[in-house]
Amino acid sequence: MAEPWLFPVGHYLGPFFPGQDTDLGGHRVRLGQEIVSLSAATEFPAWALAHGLPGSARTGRWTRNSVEAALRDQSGADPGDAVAALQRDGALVEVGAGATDPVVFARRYRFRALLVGLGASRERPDRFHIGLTGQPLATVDDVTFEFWEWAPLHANVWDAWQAAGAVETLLGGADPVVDEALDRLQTLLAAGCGYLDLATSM
Amino acid sequence: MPLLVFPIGMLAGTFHDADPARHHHEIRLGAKVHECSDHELAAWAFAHGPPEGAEPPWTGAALVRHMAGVGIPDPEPIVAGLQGRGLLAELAPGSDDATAFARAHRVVPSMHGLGNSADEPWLYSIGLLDHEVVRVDRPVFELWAWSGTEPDLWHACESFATGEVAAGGTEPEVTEPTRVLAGFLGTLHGLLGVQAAYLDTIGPAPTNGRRDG
Repeated sequence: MAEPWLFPVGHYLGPFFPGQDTDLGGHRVRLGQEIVSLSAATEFPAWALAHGLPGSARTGRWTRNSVEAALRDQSGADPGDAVAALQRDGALVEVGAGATDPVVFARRYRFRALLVGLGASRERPDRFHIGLTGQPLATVDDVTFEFWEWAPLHANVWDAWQAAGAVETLLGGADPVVDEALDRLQTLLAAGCGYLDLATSM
Repeated sequence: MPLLVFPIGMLAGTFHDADPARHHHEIRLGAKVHECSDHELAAWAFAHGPPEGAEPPWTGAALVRHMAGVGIPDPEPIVAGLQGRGLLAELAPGSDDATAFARAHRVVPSMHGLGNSADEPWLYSIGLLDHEVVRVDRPVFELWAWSGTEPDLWHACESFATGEVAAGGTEPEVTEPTRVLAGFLGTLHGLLGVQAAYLDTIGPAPTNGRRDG
């Protein structure tokens, strides 16, 4: 049985110092209407690594084991129960067999896009760029780009997937389609093209 | 108070058509995609904020002068056309029009927050995870950070003011929504110009790909 996907949730707001010359109060992440404060030692590195490794040529799903291995490699830190603690806080969610069902996940969270669209080149009209003006940071396929462009207007990931034609056969139980949609989502998160937030009623 | 000019919409980029060979630019405004020419995109892009060396305020008239200065012919109808399509707006901070605008639009953050520092805890950074692009004061940062969760910019200002009052704030600049909005609009070019946020309309549920040339 394949390991579940691991997704980070929330908009990063950065380190927070409560006053001049004070110690770091933690790294703040906005999750719906709440602020979650992540410890600098293990929770923030684990949450950051849950986005993936930017610029890497990794393929396949990014999982709890991937994050814990990357944490050991990068900082030598013992991941301990950081991932479990972040899951309890709602800042990480595992999706797939033995974890949150993909459809439940897709209805519980929404995707908020970051950066701007840069369109496609004349030579490769099938490859779409996202980044800053004059500075592409990610290249994606048409379905992923459409999801990125329109998901901010949808109440949840499920609605956005459906509108982008990413899950047409999902209700028929076509697992590869679900896998592709979740992989595309991880691609966008790894490249910093957006973040997951709690779904809203619209 | 001068009329400041603001761009509205999220840039989707430049796209090429095979036959006939041409290109166009797309801006998503609410649930519609607007196709723009090179000169229209230039006007919309220039509206994000004054170019280096230009003196504020960044008004529609200043935008037209800048476009003429860089060789774009007949800029006035281009700007007027974008205003007519809702892709540009002119408004005076503190006016009733500004409040009406704030009730019909929202601010969408398009970067991460990078927090403050022990040296200058009153300043907050915004940018990519490894790259700061702008530093703002706490009210602007808080409005920016929470604006995506509010139905529109006016509600964001009201919520911010309510929070400040609850925290014991007494300065009208942070406790009166109209003053909060005026202060935010006065600094908004600083966020738009570095692509840390964009303005969007509030509106009905989307139908992906709806186009309005």
